Amino acid sequence: MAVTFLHTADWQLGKPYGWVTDNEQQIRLRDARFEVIDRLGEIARQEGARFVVVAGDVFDSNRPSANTIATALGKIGQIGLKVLMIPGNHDHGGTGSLWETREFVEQSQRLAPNLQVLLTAQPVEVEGTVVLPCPLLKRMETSDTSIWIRQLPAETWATFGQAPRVMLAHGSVQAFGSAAMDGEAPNQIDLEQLPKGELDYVALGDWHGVKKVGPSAWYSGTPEIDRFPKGVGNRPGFCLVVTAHRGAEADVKEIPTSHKAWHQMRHEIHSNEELELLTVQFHEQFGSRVNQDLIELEITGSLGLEGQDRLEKMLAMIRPSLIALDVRDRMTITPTDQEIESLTLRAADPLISTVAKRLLERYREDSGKNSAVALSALRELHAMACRA
Amino acid sequence: MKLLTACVRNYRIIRNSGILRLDSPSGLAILGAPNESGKSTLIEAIHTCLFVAHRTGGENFLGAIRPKPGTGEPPEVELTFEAAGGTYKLRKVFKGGRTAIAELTQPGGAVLTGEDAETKLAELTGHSPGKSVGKGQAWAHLWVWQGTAGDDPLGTNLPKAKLDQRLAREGAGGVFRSEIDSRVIAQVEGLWEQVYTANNRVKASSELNKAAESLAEATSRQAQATAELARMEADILAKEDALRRLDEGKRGLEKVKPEWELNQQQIVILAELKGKMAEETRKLDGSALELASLVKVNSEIADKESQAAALKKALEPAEREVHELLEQVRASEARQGELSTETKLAAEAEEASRLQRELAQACADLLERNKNLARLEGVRLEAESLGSEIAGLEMKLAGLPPVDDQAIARLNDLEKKALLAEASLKAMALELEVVRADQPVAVGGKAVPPGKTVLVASRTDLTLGEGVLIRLSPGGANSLAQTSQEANRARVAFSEELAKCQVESLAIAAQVRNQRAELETKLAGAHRQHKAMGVGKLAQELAEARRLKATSEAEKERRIGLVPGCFIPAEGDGFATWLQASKDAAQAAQSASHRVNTEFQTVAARVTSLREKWGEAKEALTNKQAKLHDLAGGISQLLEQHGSQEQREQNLGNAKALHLGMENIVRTLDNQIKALNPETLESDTGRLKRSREQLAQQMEEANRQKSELDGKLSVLLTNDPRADVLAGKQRLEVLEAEHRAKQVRAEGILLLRNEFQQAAHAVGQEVVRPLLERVNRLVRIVYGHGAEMQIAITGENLGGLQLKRPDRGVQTFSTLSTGTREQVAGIFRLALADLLAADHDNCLPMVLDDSFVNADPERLQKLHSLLDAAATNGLQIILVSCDPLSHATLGAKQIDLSSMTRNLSETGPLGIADASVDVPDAEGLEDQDDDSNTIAMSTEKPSTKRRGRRDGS
Repeated sequence: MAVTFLHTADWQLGKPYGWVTDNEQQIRLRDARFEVIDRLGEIARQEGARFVVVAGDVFDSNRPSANTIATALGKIGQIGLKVLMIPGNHDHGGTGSLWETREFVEQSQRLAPNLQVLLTAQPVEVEGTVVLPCPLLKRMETSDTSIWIRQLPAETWATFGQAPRVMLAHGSVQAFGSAAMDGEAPNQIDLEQLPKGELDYVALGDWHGVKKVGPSAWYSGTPEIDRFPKGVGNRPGFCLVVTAHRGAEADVKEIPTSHKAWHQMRHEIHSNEELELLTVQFHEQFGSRVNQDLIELEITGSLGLEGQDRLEKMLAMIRPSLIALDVRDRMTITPTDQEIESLTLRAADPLISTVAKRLLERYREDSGKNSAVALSALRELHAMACRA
Repeated sequence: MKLLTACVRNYRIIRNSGILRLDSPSGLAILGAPNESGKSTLIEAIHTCLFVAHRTGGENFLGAIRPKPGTGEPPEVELTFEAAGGTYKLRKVFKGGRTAIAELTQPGGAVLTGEDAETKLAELTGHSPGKSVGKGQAWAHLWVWQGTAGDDPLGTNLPKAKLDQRLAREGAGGVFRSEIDSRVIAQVEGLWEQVYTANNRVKASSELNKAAESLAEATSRQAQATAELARMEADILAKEDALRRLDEGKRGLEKVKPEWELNQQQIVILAELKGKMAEETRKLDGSALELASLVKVNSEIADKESQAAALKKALEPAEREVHELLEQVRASEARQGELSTETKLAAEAEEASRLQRELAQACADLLERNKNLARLEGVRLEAESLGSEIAGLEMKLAGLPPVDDQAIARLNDLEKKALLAEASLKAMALELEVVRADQPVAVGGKAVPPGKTVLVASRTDLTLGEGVLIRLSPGGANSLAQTSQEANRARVAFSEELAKCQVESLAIAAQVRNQRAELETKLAGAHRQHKAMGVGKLAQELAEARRLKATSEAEKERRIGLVPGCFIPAEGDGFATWLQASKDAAQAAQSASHRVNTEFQTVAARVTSLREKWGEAKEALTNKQAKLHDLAGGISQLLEQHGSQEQREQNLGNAKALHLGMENIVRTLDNQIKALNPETLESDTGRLKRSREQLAQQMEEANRQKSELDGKLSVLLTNDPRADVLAGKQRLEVLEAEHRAKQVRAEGILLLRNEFQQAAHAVGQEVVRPLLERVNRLVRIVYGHGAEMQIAITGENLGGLQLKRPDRGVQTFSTLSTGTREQVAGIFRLALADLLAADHDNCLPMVLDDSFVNADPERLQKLHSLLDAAATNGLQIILVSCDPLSHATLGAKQIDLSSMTRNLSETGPLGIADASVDVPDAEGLEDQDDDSNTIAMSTEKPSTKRRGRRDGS
């Protein structure tokens, strides 16, 4: 018997994006995480999925705002298919969690009657499939949440018959090595210890990139990218359409879902010409795109006073069309000889040349903030002198 | 440029000044004249000529400069001066409009007129003519008007453009700032003003402040969010804690339950056992009481029987004692009767012997009183004899003269004095002896024949014949007489004292005194004897002795009556023995009576005592007998009630057996109760009950807390505290970075501004250095070594003068005294003129009208040195003063202007009307006498080079 379902995880609804200073862009990013639910429902329906499993971290915290919950439940309700979900480390169960709140229970029944939150480690049968949930009831669970599955007696397994068995869990798999990658360390799941041949698919959450970690064990990743990718091969922004068979490896199809593009760029610049090239590149890559991209730009190298001004102008120009521009400015500003001469060798302008010499001296001899202040003053002076 | 001559006509009060020669070889000139002589008007006229356009009209101008009183003649000024290497003659006639005249005769004779003249003049003075006098407008730095010497020389009239040009040529770089400098500074100021207030505080509207506010607001929001999250997490922890306590409570109750149930069962059993125990104990107590009652009765009977036996045994000796006591009472009463009779007899014998003794005593008393009376009669007779003897002695003493020891002493004293006076008289007297005489010699009128000795004791005349009279004065005459008088007085006093003592001589007086002493001694002895006889109370004693004798006789007679038949011996005839025998008999009778009476009293007391003892013994016996009777009755009654001894012993055995059985039952029950350990059971009950209550309370509290927290936690907030904290943290990081960047930029702007200010100051100081060097050379002349003037630079302007002196520190110009302000201003103007003179052939005229009037003589002397130095350096110094003498040490050329105003009527073409002065010709001024007030055009080109430099070159 084969059953097709949609595997997704790490929606992290309500994620604040506090580092994005523009409030509108913050809202845009938060909304994108809700909007992807619509696309997931559409894909599930198109792909003939019988139900949807969400492997934890539906919400960014376990006490999201009432509006976040209502919006999420509204979107889930519109999927039209049974949606099974477990709490992850972000929205873990337990005392004080949203899952216990009156609002969630009432609104869930009203807005998303198709939703079933699995808070207990016991098998659930849905659409001819046995789902074995491993909910996280703590943010950091030190014991393996799948132990109960290992301890299921043979008689219990026998009662499942030919129905495909799908394990639903949230955490890091040992073979995967979360510490070195993107997972979060404490919540470990030992796939090797699971009973051989009893499970037909392991639907995992926590790792934000799509990843196959076993013959039928997959991280679906987050459907809407929420951070600048870390590490090579990290591929967020997908969902998985899974067809599980009893006793056979599941068929898994990756489907991209993310709308917002997160770019990580590194550039080394040493001249105004190189800066110009970068400017051209930005124009070509993002010139026609608005509110779709987030860029983490790490700039290294060295520019003079004028070059730094140009760079800032260039960044100021492209910033409005981006959702966010996070500049990791490692640039060294070093006044060029020409710039220094243009300021200090001005017999006709005694004050400018005197001041420039003094500032240059401070910039070179001081350190830390004093040097930065002197450099800032030099930049101002240079810009003014050029304008005058 | 140097002013050579001036000629003013019809200008205000000046009618015709004549040609005044203003230059001098020293370069120093003083225009001197009393007040209101037109000194200031003259220099105003010169200034007007140089700097006011000749066509200037209007009543304001022309009306001001026209002569007063009016003459109808226009004001006219003619000057000659050296400039640009040549000598010029300038003439202006101010009429207003086109009729006005301006003529400038150039070196070589070419004359420019009208506007051409003005243009050339402007070129030479460096100042375009204006339309009014405008005292402060042209050459204000060189032309110090009356009353303005103390004004700040850096005022609005500073020739800034010329100064800048000059400094530019002489200074380092020469300019304060370029246009670009200025524009950049303006931009810096603009940026600074956007960020900072005037006090360099960050402006509220600045980006930096906004960033700081945003950061503060975000920090505050983050604190709130953190607190909110902490509250929520605390609630969660509290709920978890409540759940844990609930669970612990449940488990605790389950653990307590079996122990509690067993405890309760045992409590029930214990209660039942205790009920039975109470019942059986009550029964046991009843049997014990019965048994005790029987034992008690037996004991009571035995006790009473024992008491009765003892009483019976005690009755016999008591009866014996009563009998014996009665016998003793009777015996004592018999003896008492016998003693009563003996006592009576003894009393009678004692009375008789007492009367005998008292009679004998009365007889003895009578005898004694008779003797005393006889003695007193003898004394009376002796006293009467001694009284007669005393009277005889007193009569004899009265017959002697009254000479006593004092009289004898006085007589001795007076006799000594008389003898002494006599001896003195004899010592002074002159013994005159006529040994031989041929003429009759008479002394004191008495003739003294030869061989006759005469004692002369007083002033006595001695004659020898008829012709010789010699007056003799022995002892100086007066002393001899005085001594003679004293001798007489002594003799008289001695005789009077003898008379007073009724004796003839001192020897007789001594004899009388001895007789009197002897008589007096005898008399005193008689008196003492008489007194010793008690003569005073002798009569009284005699009367009393006679009365006592009579009383004793009466008593004797009464006593004889009481002892009839008594024999009374006569005195000396066994009377004393009789008296003693009577006394002894009375004493013996008294002792016998006393002894018998004492024994009687003793026996009577014994009788009383024995009777009391007998009564008591008898009463005790009666009581014992009654008690024995009572005991016998009681025993009979008990036996009637409780039966015989056999019956009673049987009853007692039965009761003991019953009691023993009851004791066994109670002991069994007690063991059962003890087996349940009641004390532990009860304390366990308390402990378990407490434990259950505490657990229940804990659960109740945990439940209450849980319900409360359920209420809180079951409701979702409109926000997500965790998301808020995370977002806040990220936001804070961004805002902190932004704030840091803005702060760095703001500090950069502030730094830039400060650097520009410092640079402007440094450059400014460098620019004005040539001026300051000149100034300070002069300053040191006046104020000594170490003094210097400083010029503050404000932007592109000279901001203010400051005078620094070692003893007074730095003072701004406005804070200096009036005199010092004049001096400082003068110094600065001189230095400025010196600097600017380079553009005027190294010479410029400097006019000082009434300057330095406030300087003290010492300072004025230094100012003169200063002016001399300036003149030596090439400047033309013209002082205007009403007191030229005060500048005598200057060595300046004196120009007397006192006659200027008198020459109004002598009008004529300028330069020729006044015969006393020469009209200078532009074609050849010629130096004349230094002191001359006239000048002539020289044919040579005048040298306007600085003397100092000329000398140097």
